[in-house]
Amino acid sequence: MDKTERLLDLTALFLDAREPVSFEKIRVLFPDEYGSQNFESALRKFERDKAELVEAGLPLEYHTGSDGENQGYVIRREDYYLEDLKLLPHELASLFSAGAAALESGLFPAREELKRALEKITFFSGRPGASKIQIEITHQPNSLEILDALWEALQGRKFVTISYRSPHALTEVSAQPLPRKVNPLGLALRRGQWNLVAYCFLRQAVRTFLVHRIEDINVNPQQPKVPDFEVPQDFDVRQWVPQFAWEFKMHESISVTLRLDSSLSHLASQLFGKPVDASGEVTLAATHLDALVDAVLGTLGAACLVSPDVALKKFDEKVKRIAAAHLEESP
Amino acid sequence: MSERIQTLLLLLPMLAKKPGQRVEEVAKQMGLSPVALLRELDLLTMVGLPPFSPDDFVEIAVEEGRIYVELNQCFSAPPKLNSKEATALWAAAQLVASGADEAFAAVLRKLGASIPNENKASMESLARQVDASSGVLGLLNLVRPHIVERRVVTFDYRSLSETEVQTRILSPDSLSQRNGCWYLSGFCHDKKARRLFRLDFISNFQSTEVAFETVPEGPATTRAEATLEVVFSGPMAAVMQERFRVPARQSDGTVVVKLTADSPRWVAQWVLGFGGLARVISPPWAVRAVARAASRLRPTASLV
Repeated sequence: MDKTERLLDLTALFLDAREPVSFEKIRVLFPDEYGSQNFESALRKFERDKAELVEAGLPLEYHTGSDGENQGYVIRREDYYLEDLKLLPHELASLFSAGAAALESGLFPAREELKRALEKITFFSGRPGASKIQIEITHQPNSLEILDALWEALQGRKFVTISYRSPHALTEVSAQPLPRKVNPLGLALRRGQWNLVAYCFLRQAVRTFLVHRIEDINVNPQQPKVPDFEVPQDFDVRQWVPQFAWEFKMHESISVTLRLDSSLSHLASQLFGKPVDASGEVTLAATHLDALVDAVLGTLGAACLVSPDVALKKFDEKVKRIAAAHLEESP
Repeated sequence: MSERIQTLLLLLPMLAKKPGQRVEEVAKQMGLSPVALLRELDLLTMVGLPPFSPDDFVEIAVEEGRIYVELNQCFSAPPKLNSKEATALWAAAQLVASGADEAFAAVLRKLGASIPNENKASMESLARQVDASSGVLGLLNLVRPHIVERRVVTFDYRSLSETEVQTRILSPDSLSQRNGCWYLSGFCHDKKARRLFRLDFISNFQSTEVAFETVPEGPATTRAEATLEVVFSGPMAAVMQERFRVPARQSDGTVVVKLTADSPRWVAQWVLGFGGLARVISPPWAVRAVARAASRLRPTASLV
């Protein structure tokens, strides 16, 4: 009997049973599979099959009867069968559109799991009318393979060895990508680019890597089911990959206040992550002041800096430099 | 193996629930080739309950390219979402919803409630490790139903490259995300052409309740575009070489990027945003636009 067929037969048996099924009974019901060997080797074979079903997410467990009776294996039906999530039509449409967009982006982790999840959430209600959403994600020819390997390593907590083309290597044509051994801790999508947050053994610290700059990857093949490391309990990938460029940790935090004119104030949350106060100002914690000053420059005066002086000075220097460079060129 | 088991445990109830589905459609939904699907169906005809008498097997028939399944009640519904499926769905949902959004939080609660307790810790742990959020706004949820229901919308629009707010009437047909920014596209009735609008520059969004059948084709743009040449230096040279796939650098380490542009104000806004690491070299009108914009910004308003 094919192994998959055997596992599905076992699943059917457990789901259909009204009481726990003992291993002895399983041997009788599957004589060719478990009955013909000696007890120990048959039990080992069954344990391997059971482990596969548990890995597939089936709530299979051994039930110990209080009176020595009713001992055996059960799948808890209440934890097995999918129930209607009772999503409202717009919630279902949102989730489905998002899932479809992720799949179509061509670079999203856990695509097989996502496909199944979309089928499950629409099992009771049918597929909703989906809006056309396209997500563009930066990638190289092998980025999908790299992302899949990272997803596998992330879930299995296995270290990986990567060949990383750092920005420094980009400046020196002859430079070869650096091999790095890292423990992958998280993945974050920012501005259309996947970022890997990982503990880097070379730098002996947590570092962020752009996935499309990883040229090659090897997941530690030793003991694939045994984790190589633990993810710190308080780890949160959002703390390592900020939404805004001025939140990258380049220096100590500086409190910077901006004033937005009326044409821009309603967009403050989108552009700067916070709404303006009653006086049209917003105060931000910047750990990469240059990036914040550049963002203000890009508003062409619709936002201006209020404080501190160091930010004003930087702004003024940049404006002078840009003006001078373009006045020289200007015919 | 576990992937295959999960797929087959989903496939059986899916096929039984809706008899007569086409082989090609189901194969596409499940990410299989039609041949691979038929192979899996062959295997499923061997699945059943002990004592495996003829009535104990799953019955599958493929007639004229359509699939019909009869099965034991035990496979009447698929398994619940496991932690990996729930996490994948949750990660994808972040693409179009904000964590701070109450509607999104409600969806997450429903998702969380649907997975077995022993899987919740695993999902919560993975949820802290994967983040696909794009800092999106509630407007995305407001816009999306109008695309599905084909309703004309109006809104006020002013991008950073435009001086005045303009009211636009649009038959919207798609949303897209590029470089982390969301865009709404469709047929703009004011410009009589297809247009792309950055979502976070839209305000006063309203439905007209006027339905449309199809989005008129119209020209992609009615503006004259020019080729813009920009030199990037310092750390931005490496980034732009990669983004624009420029094969080689200049001898001084700078990178020359060529792109199309149609608005002096857009050019100025884009170039100033690089904080002095970008310099326009042509066309002349673009150079003048940046020089003029920078001159107007000096000294900073706050120093006056």
